[in-house]
Parts: sequence; structure tokens; C-alpha cells
Amino acid sequence: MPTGIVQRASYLRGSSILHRCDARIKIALLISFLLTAAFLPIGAWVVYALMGGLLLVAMLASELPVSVLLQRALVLEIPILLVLLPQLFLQKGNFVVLTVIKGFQISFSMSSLVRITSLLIRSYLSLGFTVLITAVTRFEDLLAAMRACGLPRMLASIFALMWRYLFVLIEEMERMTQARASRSAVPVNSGMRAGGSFGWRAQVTGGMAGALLLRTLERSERIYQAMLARGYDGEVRLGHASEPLTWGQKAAMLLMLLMGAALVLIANGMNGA
Amino acid sequence: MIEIEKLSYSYEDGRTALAALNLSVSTGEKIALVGPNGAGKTTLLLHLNGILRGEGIVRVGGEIINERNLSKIRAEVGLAFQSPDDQLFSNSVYEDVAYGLIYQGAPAGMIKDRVAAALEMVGMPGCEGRSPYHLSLGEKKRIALATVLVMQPRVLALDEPTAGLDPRGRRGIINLLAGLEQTLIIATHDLGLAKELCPRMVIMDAGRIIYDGSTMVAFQNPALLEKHGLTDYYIDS
Amino acid sequence: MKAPIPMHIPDGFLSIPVAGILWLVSLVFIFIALKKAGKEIGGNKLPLVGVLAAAIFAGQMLNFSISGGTSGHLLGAALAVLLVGPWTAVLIMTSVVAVQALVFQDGGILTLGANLFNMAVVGMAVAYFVSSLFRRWFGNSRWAILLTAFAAGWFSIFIAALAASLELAFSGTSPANIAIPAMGGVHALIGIGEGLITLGAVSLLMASKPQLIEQDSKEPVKSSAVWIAGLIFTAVLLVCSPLASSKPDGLEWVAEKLGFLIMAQDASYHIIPDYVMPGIQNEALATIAAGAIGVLIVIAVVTLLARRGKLAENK
Ligand SMILES: Nc1ncnc2c1ncn2[C@@H]1O[C@H](COP(=O)(O)OP(=O)(O)OP(=O)(O)O)[C@@H](O)[C@H]1O
Ligand SMILES: [Mg+2]
Repeated sequence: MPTGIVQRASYLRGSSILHRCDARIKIALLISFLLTAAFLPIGAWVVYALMGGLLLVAMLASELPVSVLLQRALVLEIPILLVLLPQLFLQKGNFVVLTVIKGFQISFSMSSLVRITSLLIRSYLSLGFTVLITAVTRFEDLLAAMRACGLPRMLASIFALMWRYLFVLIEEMERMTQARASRSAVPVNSGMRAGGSFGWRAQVTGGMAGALLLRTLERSERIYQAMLARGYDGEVRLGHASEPLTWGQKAAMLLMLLMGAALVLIANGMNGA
Repeated sequence: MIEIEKLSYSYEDGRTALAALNLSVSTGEKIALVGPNGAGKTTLLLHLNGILRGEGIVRVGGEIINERNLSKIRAEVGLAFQSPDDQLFSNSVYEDVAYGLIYQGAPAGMIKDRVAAALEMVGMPGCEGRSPYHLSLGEKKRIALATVLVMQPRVLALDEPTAGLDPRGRRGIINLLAGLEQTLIIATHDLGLAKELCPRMVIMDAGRIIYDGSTMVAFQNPALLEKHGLTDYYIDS
Repeated sequence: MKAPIPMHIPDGFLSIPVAGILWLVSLVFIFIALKKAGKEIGGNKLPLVGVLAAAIFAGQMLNFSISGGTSGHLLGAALAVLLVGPWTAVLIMTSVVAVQALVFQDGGILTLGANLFNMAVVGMAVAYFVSSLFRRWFGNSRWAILLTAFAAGWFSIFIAALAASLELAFSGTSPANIAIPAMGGVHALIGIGEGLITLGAVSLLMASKPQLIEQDSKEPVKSSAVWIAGLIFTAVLLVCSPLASSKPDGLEWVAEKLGFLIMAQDASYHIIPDYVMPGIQNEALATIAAGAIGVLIVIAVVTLLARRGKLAENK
């Protein structure tokens, strides 16, 4: 059943510093972290460890269960692992052949191993930080922050409306799926080939999507009337607009970017040495 | 036919919808499942064919529901949803009603006959070609019932079959249900239907079974009905 | 549980230059879409767009079993284009993809630009291009519309996947001769699911509210902009991908010239691999074969549907 998605909507209630922090600062923090991770060279183990430490400290500061956050990031890491691992067996660089047991050999590329490990660590750091920031920031605040950072009014309104109805529609979709499952049944000794054809199943699913869209279209007309009734002024908001940033906050944002840049420079210097 | 032991279920948001509930239904019984909004009626029905799988044991025809016999169980227990919109998602009434049989791999001729018969039963013969989208609520409810009847399950679990129907439509459904031999479990707010169709009544509130016994006896206890939101007046006690 | 659609590229998979450029390109397209679709959306169409985005998001969670444990999903770009026209579709898909990244971590933040490019921009342009072309060729009969829906769905997925694999290759994450056949092959199949679901949805909409689908093309773009973009994307990717995967040196050369190779520090890394595992070597062939299989399947499905249609009429 497609219920997992609601749990993955990652906001976790709390009242830590990170929860209360202005969403714009958190966005800046996230982007600095991601950029830094992306610019770090292969094999900069020390800096990776440093970043990992930062991530851990931030997670602790969120007062959320760290294991939950790390696990979420781990789940997201799996597809990455699947793409990267096969490259271990590309024949290039210094290729190593290991004899594990007599007559049973494993061969892999040492340079690929270093590269893949680095990529995995970097992506895990990035995922971990993204998971953390989205766990401490309500979408409402994120949206207000993005709006304050120049997200066009119309897109912000579309996001807001989408968010407001997203879970309603997901539930509707889930109930349709349940109703379909209820009738996807085979009596014990029917002796017939069950399940229908591939094309038929796909088409039925298409019908469900179509029905959902159709009802959504109808609903949107009612929503517009409700919006007008409540004094629609051309923008749909979820929360309060953001207040202007103080100089201190701006300085903090700049500092984060600089720190990231410094880390990248250090890492490159260490690798060069 | 159905045995439920210590069934508990909480939704993802942590809300407990069923709390250690026991219920046993014999073959051919007709049971009214009543209780206020949010009592857990729908949640309970969703457990009867394994759509939801809470803690505890649900047995259908002596077998505990598990991953492997789900498909068989769902053929035995037909579930009609509270909102017919959830159940109708095809281009035509025919395709919607035929869904279960097509899934079973039934031959085309048989499908056609059984669809026609099911539509006849719910009082909507000959409307195979119509688009479900353009039907009225009452008509949709009847088609949704037909989508389940067509599979000829041994147990029918119906979620508010008469809600939103006009008096004549309601009468039609009650007469139809009265003529069925299957085991019936009807979640409803329609006490008239309960009185007329179901000798046994189960009252639920807050995920628990509060009363399980004769419908007539329950009706002689207005305080009980009132306490669980089943009357639209208040009694001084 | 929603299986991660391999189309959502996570952070760390794209080089900074590739990610940056695609951010820019996507922003430009979204900006144009806001300009073009804005006048209408500003008024009573705004809720429609917002709620449709939510519906497409929810619709992406619908699935049907293909065989074993795998299941087919909907992306919805083509469906959006058919329903509301190309520019509004860009805005809808932008909202879907952005919320997926921001709230559900489906796809990265730095790579969001690329994901928007693949799913909102390329997906939309290809679907619009294909559907305009098909309508011109086959007219407005029921079968033509259904065929159009299937083709728009299939091509939007296939071409978007090729775009994604080229991005991966340019980033040096996955060599072109692995990424392209792999992504292309998988998505030639996923595209069939997309095509059939799109077809099913359009067929229901036609049966229930034909005026939604039948008007020739919404937001007609005077055979320019989107049309040309669609043509270019389709052509470039269809021609480039087999070439790129058969001549990885060529791609590597381009990448080096443009300074794309982020893995520059990692000099030991080359895009040309010699596989120890046999059998994954016929790259260009694989891509072309995937395309050919796709086309064959389109034809097969159309014939099958036509037959079923006749049966239905005989009833
Ligand atoms: N998908 C869901 N997620 C979270 N909570 C839910 C969900 N569905 C139902 N609930 C909650 O579970 C409880 C039982 O709901 P249920 O739908 O079973 O009640 P009901 O007896 O059928 O009510 P009604 O008479 O209104 O149909 C309610 O408190 C409801 O809010
Ligand atoms: Mg209910």
C-alpha cells in the first residue's frame, strides 16, 4: 500500500533552536552544506569526517532522534549504492585481484573503490543534511522563505494550493487503490488465469488517475469560489510572510558560505600535498 | 464464518481506531454495525478482507488472513466502500462492474451475463454503457454495490449502503438485501434498516464494541442508543 | 511504498557545472511559462493548477503490477500537457518535482534544476511536440486521441530518461555507454506503463467529459517555441545518445573541452571502461534496439486496442 509517502513528508514536530530558526537561514545553511559537499575532492577523508561531525552536531541540536534521521538518509542512499557499486568492477586504474578462498577470486579496481567510497560518503552527507533541514522546517515556513527570496507570487500560490490539497488527494487515491485491491480476488478453485492482461491493468490504473483528475477539476471550481468568499487578493498563503532579515542574520549566512569555501580549499590543499 | 480476536489498529498518525475488539459472525447472519462518526466501523470492515492488517487475529471461513490467502479471502468477502467514487473508475458502468470478473479471468460470455444480472439486482438494468461519472449519487451507490455482488462473495460487508439514497432507492436496497442469502455485515447510521434487516446489532464507540446482541433489545434501551449518538434527541437520565 | 523512480537524480550525482547550467535553463523555461500561462492562471485557473499538481503527485503513487515485484507508475507530464496545455503543464510539473525534492527527498536540491529540466521542461516539450505531430497526422478521432496519449506518454518518459543519462554521463558519474543503454532500456519499458496509464486516463476523461480533451490544442503555440524545442530535444537526444554511447571518446572530448569533467582531480578515471563482466558492451545497439522495441510495442498495442475496440463495438 502506498502509505509510506505520508511518513516521508519529513517534518518532525519539535521546538529546538533549529526548529525555531528562520527558514531562510536554514536554506542558506543547507545550500552551503550541499555545495561544499559537492565541491570536495575525491578522497578528502579528513574533511569528510569534519563534515560528518558538523552533521551530527546539527542533528543533536535538532533534539530529534538521530537514529531516525540517519536511517531516513540511509534509505535514500540505496539507489545511489546500486548505481555506483557495479563500477567497482570496471577494469581500470590499479586493478586488484583478491583470492578469498582457494580457487575463488574477487577482482576490483582500487581507484574505483576510493572514488565510489568518496561519492557515497558525500552523497550520504548531503542526504543527511537535507533530511535534517526538511525535518525541522515546516513546508509553510519554507514556502514563505522562498517567497521572500524571490520565488514568484504565482508559483508560490500554486505551491501553497498544492500543499493544502496534497494529502487529501493522496488519501483519495489510497482509498481507490484499496477498493481496487478489494475486488482483485480469485476464488480457490476457479482454475482460470487471474490478473487480467498487462494492458488492461495499466488502463484500469489510468482510469483511476483520470477519475482522480476529473474530481480534482470539479473540486478546483469549488475551491475558487471558497477563495473568493474568503477575500482572495491574488496570492494564496500558507503562513505569515517572512520579516526582513537582520544584518546579523545576513552575516551568518555569508559566514556559512565562506566556511564551506574554506573547507573546500583545505581539502584541495591536503589532497595536493 | 468470521472470527475476530483482540483486533487492534492504529492509523499512521497514532490514532487508535480499533481497541482489542472481539466479534464472531456465523454463516448467514445479518448484522448491523452502528455507532457514531469515527467509531471505527469503516476501519473494522477494512479488516474483514485484509485491506488493513491490524494486531490480533481475523479468521474468515476458519482461515487466518495472511499474505498468501488474501486473494482467496477477498473473493469470499465482498466489500462495498462508503463512498462510491472510490469504487468507480472506469469509462463505463459495464467495465466497472466487470472488473472483478475480468481479474478472475472469467470467460467473456459469463462476464456479460453476470454483469447484466447484477445490474438487474440493484435496479439499474441496461445501463452498462453509461459513464459512472454522470450518475447521481444514489445510482453510483447502487452500481458500487453491483461491482461487489457480481463476484458472488459469501460475505457482504457494506459500508453505509443507504446513505444519500432517496426513500424509494433506499427501499429498493433494503428489499434487495433482505432477499440475499449471504452473510451480511452492514455498517450504517440507518436504524430503520437495522431494525428491518438485521436481527443482530453491534454498537461500536471509540474502537470498542459496546453492545452485541439482539436489535430489538437494543431498541428497548433508548439510553444505550442515546449514549452512543444513535438518536437525534437527548433523554434526561 | 513508492519505489523511487530512477528519474529523480539525487544530490552528488551531477557535476556542479552540469547541475548549474540546468538550473539556469529550467529557470528560464519556468519564467517563460509563468509569462505565457500567467494571464489565465492569475484568475480562476489558479486553484485548478495547484490542485492538479497535487492530483498528479497523488497519481504518481498509483501503480499496477507488471510482473513479480515490479510495478508501473505514472509520471504525468504528458497527461498534464494533454489536459491543460504545455505552459501550464510546465508549472504543474515544476510544483510536483519541487515539492518531491523539498519535502520527500525524491531527487536532490542541487540537482533539482536538472530534474526540473528532465521532467518538467523536456517531458513537457516532448509530449507537446509528439501530440501536436500526431494530431496533425491522425486527426481528432477517438483512436487518434488515444494513440496520441500513448505516444506522448511513452516519448516523454523515454526522452527524459535519455536526457538524464546524458547528464550523468557529462558529469562523469556513470559512463555514457553504461548510463544510456541502461536508462534508455529501462525507460523504454517504463514508458509503456506511462503510455498506457496516460491512455487510460485520457480515455476515461473522453468518456466522461470529452470537452476537456478534444479541443485541438490548448494554449496553441504558433507552431514555434515549444514545438521547436520538442523537435530539438527529441532529435538531439535520439541521435546523440547512440553516438555518445558508441563513441565515448567523443563525449569525453566534448566534456573536457567544455571543462565539464568534475572528476578532473581523479585522473585515473576514464569514461572508457573495459568491462570485466562480459555482455554489456554493445551500447549503441542497445539504445537503438530499445527505441526499436518501443516503436514495435507501440504498433502492437495500437493494433491490439483497435481489435478490442472492434470487439466492443460488436457487442
Ligand atoms: N486514513 C486515516 N488516517 C488517520 N486516521 C483515520 C483514517 N481513517 C480514519 N481515521 C480515524 O479513525 C477513527 C475511526 O474511523 P472510521 O472511518 O473507521 O469511523 P466510522 O465509524 O466509519 O465513522 P463514520 O460513521 O463517520 O463513517 C476516526 O477517529 C478517524 O478519524
Ligand atoms: Mg465510516
